[in-house]
Amino acid sequence: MATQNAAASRPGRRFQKRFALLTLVSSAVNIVVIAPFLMRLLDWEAPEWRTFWLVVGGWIVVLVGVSQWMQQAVRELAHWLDRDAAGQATHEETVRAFAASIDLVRQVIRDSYLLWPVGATCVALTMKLFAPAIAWADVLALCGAGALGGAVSSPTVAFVFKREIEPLRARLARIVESPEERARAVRRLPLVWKLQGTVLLTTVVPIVVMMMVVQRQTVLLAAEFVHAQQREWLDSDEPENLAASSHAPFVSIGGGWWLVDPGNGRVIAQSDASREADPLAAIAGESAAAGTGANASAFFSWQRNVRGDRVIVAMLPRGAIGAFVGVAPEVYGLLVLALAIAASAAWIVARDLSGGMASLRAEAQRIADGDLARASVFESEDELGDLGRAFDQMRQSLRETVRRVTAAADRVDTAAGQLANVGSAVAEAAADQDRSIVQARESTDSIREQVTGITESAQALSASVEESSSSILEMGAAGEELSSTASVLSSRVEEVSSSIEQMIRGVAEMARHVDGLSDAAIDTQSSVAEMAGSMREVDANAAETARLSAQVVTVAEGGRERVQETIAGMDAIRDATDTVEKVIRGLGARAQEIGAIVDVIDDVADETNLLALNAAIIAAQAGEHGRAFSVVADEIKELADRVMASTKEIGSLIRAVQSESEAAISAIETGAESVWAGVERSAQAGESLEAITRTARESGSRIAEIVQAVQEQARAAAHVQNLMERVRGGVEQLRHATSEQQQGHAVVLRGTTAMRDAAQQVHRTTEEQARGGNQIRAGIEVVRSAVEQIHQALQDQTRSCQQSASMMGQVSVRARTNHESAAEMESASGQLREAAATMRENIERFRI
Amino acid sequence: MARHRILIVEDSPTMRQLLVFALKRLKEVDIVEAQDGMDGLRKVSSDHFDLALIDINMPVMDGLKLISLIRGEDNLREMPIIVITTEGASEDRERAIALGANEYLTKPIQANKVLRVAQSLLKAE
Repeated sequence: MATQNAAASRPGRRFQKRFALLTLVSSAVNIVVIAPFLMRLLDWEAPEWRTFWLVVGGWIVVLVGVSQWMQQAVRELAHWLDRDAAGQATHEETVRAFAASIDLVRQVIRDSYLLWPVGATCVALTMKLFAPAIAWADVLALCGAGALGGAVSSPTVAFVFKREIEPLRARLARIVESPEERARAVRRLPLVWKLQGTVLLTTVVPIVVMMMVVQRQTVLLAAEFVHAQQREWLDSDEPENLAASSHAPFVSIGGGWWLVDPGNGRVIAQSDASREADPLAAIAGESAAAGTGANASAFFSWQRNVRGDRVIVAMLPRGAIGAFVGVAPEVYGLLVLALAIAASAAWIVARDLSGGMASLRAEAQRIADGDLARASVFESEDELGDLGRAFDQMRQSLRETVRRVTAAADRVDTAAGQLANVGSAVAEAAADQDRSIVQARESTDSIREQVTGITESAQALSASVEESSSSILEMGAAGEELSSTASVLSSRVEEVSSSIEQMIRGVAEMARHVDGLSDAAIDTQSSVAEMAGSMREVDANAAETARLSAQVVTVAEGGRERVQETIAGMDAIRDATDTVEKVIRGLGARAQEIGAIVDVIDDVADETNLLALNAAIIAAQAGEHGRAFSVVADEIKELADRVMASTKEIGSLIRAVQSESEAAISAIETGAESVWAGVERSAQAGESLEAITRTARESGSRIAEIVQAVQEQARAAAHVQNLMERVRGGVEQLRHATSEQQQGHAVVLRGTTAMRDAAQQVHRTTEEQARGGNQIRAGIEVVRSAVEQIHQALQDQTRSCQQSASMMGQVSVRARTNHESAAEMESASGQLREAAATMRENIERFRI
Repeated sequence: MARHRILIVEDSPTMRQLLVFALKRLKEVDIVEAQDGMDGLRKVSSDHFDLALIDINMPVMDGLKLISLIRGEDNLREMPIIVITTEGASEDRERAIALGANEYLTKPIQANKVLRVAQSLLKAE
């Protein structure tokens, strides 16, 4: 747990350490830069310099500590880094950290401007404490150097820190998604202020320091003069006669000297008798043997002799310094004018830049709000103009893309609508199909019942036929017996008579059976007719089902084409989105390239700035001859500053463009995901439609089989009817033969009374009867074979009925599958429509 | 880098369209479509492919048969195969893997998954 905590707290601590190190290193570098100026400004001895460096080192450590305490932003960011590493950072903390990352550079510049003069003052006072011999002028010079240090360090520090914080700032900006929230968190610093501040601080401070250097040089000149002359003048026996020639340079710039006896205040010698000054009053407070100083009117330097009875004082009126460096008082006016010009030039450039950027920002905001109309086009001759044109290009390609996406979304929407219609049409057709299948099945069931009925009748018929035929055979046998014995048994008339009676009974019985046969035949015929009606119904239902299946196939095929169009539309959208992404990535890359170019410009400007500073200093040293060059150097410096300020803003603008590009790309990716989902839904709908087409086709072919089976059945039924006709014919024949026979019987009966007389006639009649019996037998044979055929046909019919029923069952299952597929497809097309609506909503954000 | 050639063997035109849509996302690919196992076999034996996506349920010749024929050829033994199975038909899937398919996708097909699996197989190759 403890190690985990330690690991989790590392990023924040590392961050703080890094910034403390940066502060320390940048201070050290700045001190190294300022040191040569200080060396020139202060004529100290080696021990004093040693003390100075120790003091400086001590104070740097203290002040870096103070600066860490002052830089709240760094602490805030370190805290956030820790929380983020532990995964506990809340949104408020992140927003605060973002604000801190923005504030950091401002804080660093402020601290640098505050701490350098404060630090220099602390160093100067500490030096005065440790080495009281140091003049107050040196203390002042140190403070001035501190101010210069602040001016030198702040741009450097700002640059280094801004560069250092940039990745973290970009990361935070990515996490805080809403630009409005970021805008609220940022404390704005207008470009005008930045530019004015930079121009003023980089102009005023060096000028003030330059003036200090000039003054110091002058005072040193007086001191040099005093040192050079001390031996000669302080120890001279005849000081009154000292020649004035050797001090011509000092006197020529307005300086004067006095050799005084401090005991009685008598002036032993002086440079110019007419000059009125009180040298003893000037050095009244000074106890040292030699030194330099200043009062309200003049700078002075003095040196006492060993005995203490002489002191030489050199004085230089403050007004003379101007004369020394060759600068007339009106030049100060010119300096103020130059400052005013620099400030107003900075103001104009800043207005130009911030105005351009404001237009570009408005433009970017309009594009972000989705307004792609070319209401206004920003144009300028500089890099902002390039950026404006890039914006225009981006807007145009976005417009083109949005137009294409809208068209594709319209197509998708239409196709999805059609698909939904197709789905409901398929569902309706499938339901119709299902209904007609149920009807067909009912009809088939009734056919089956009828067939069963017919079979039963046929079986009854068959039984009757059997019985009839047995009676007939019996009768035939009796007839034959009768015939064979007729010739020989005329004497046995009684026997014959009884045989005849028996035969008559057989014939009556047969007639009864023939009636039963006729009834069964009539029943069968009506059942077959009924069955034929049912079959026509089945046929009609099957035809309707086939038509519906064909309709389902057509509709589903249409639906599948819609699906393919939809996917093609989605494909077009994806291609369009890819183009947008490419365009935006290209824009990001261009921005990166511009950034690289701007970095180069920035480096050049930085170098120019340093060169200009150097040039200004060298120009100042060159005196009158360097004056014109100093003005040029200042101009160069101004230009370099303006360039640096512009490049910074361009840099931040480029970053804004890059982060907008990233946001746009992520929006496009979201859109692309919904396109993918839409394609998947469409594919599901398409698959369902394909399944529907397939099953509908199968249903169609099954139905065709059913129709064929029914037609076969119908043919079989017709055959049965035909056979029944023949049965009826046979029955009629039977009836006819029976009645003939019965007529024959009547004759036989009449004949029995005169049997003996009419034995020949009997013989003839029995032959006739045998003929009738044969006729009956033939009729019975016809009936039997017809009944057998009927039986066969009925078995066929039952089989094909069963086949029909099973096929109906299959069709019904397919119809249900179709129904389910249609429902599935309807839901898929509903989802597709939703996806299309979402896409449309997204697109409607844009106004072309 | 050379262009990858991908073969799709699938009887459903919609499914083929979806697969083409997903695979077009891979840059530098040529996609060839076959509408059944026999068509797929003709194409795979007359041309080189870096990847084949094969559906199981197809008319004329099914996917399992096609996979076993492909794995029987010496020069096709190393070609990566993604088999497309119906949800719930785990038996088919296992058989396909046993016959030599490298990966499987289950219907309903997710375009992203197609892309991922295809990418990993092309990379592995």
